Amino acid sequence: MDCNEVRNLMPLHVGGDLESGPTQAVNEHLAACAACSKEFDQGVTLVGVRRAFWKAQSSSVPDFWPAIEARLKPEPAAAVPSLWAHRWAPMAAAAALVVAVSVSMWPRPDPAMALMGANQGLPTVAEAQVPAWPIEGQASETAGTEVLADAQPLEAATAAPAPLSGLRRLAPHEPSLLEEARPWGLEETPAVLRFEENPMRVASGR
Amino acid sequence: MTHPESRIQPPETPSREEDERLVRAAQAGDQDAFGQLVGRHQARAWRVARGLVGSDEDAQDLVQEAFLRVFRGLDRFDFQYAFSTWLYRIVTNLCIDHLRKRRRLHSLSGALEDDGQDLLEIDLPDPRDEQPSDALVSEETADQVRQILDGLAPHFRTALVLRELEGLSCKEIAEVVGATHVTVRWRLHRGRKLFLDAWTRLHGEDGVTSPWDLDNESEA
Repeated sequence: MDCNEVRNLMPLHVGGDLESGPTQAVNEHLAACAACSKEFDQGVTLVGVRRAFWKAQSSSVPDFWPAIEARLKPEPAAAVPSLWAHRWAPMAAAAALVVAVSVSMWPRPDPAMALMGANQGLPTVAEAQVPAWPIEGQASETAGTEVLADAQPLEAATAAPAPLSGLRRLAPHEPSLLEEARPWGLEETPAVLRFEENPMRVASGR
Repeated sequence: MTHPESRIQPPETPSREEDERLVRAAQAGDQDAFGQLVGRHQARAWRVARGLVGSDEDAQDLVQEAFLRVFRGLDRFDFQYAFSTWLYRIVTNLCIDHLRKRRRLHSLSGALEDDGQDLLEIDLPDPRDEQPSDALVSEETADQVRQILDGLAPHFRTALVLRELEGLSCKEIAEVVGATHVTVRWRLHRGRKLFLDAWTRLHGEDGVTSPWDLDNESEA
């Protein structure tokens, strides 16, 4: 093996990365060649330079576990509803749907009827304290206020009445309640058109 | 003449059986077991990351991210490999990605890509211009080593760190980096040659016998 061949293998030999066959041949050459032996020593020294450099850089090892553990913990807010949601979400969604349908089909008499009652000196719905909720297809007369329930589906008619505590006797100078009713979209419904034709038959299908 | 193989010894390796037991426990949801895995392997992950990237802060972020990826991928762990091999692979991949992004960000005019020349042309100071004290020589030598290593392409640096610092065999490095044994040997050969050339440009032919007390430092 000549010097060129040995120098070509030197970068591997300085790290002990030559296979056994070439290693023996290179060592025999190094034992006889001062120039190649010097180059070999330089290469080995630089391996040590790099090792010493890297070791000095990484001598102090941080403790990584606290930071990693903190990032592994689930979000506390997300943990509770996820369990709950898996079991109860479908039932809750169904219940919400029933409530939404019931509310949408509810005869929204409150602002208009309250206003009418006040204008005519009659009690409002709250004051009337309707004893029994109207049955489908039957009209009922309660303290002078006619409640026509024939347009109500059975579910809505038999459901618990809405809280009435917000209603009160209205003064004639309080037309602004109509303004309150507008955001509900009443003026756009056929019921309002019928209301204008026959104010006492709110939400009537007739 | 010291035989080269005596200079590169692998650091103490945690038992593979115990690693596998902890991996199985962690797969079953035992977070403390994963904490033990982190404790057993954080030093090697830190050494590799710190050896490959330039700053403590970047290395810490990368090691933390590596362990999180290990945790998220526990179910995919292949027991035919050592846990440390898997961890080395994740750490080195993250570090190489980081180095490449950083190199793109700080691309210098005349900077060379991996598939071109392998070393940046670094304008290093000529040590013969001044005669610093011994203490400053060590600091300055460290800066020169850092500059030369920073100029090496990431795959050369990775091969050198895994071989010379971690003591992995070429076969083990090949598993870590997903290359063949022959490719790893070529990267070691080329990386060492490029380092020697840069060092010789700085110090001349005799400069390799550096003022750094290498034997004492490396054995410390």
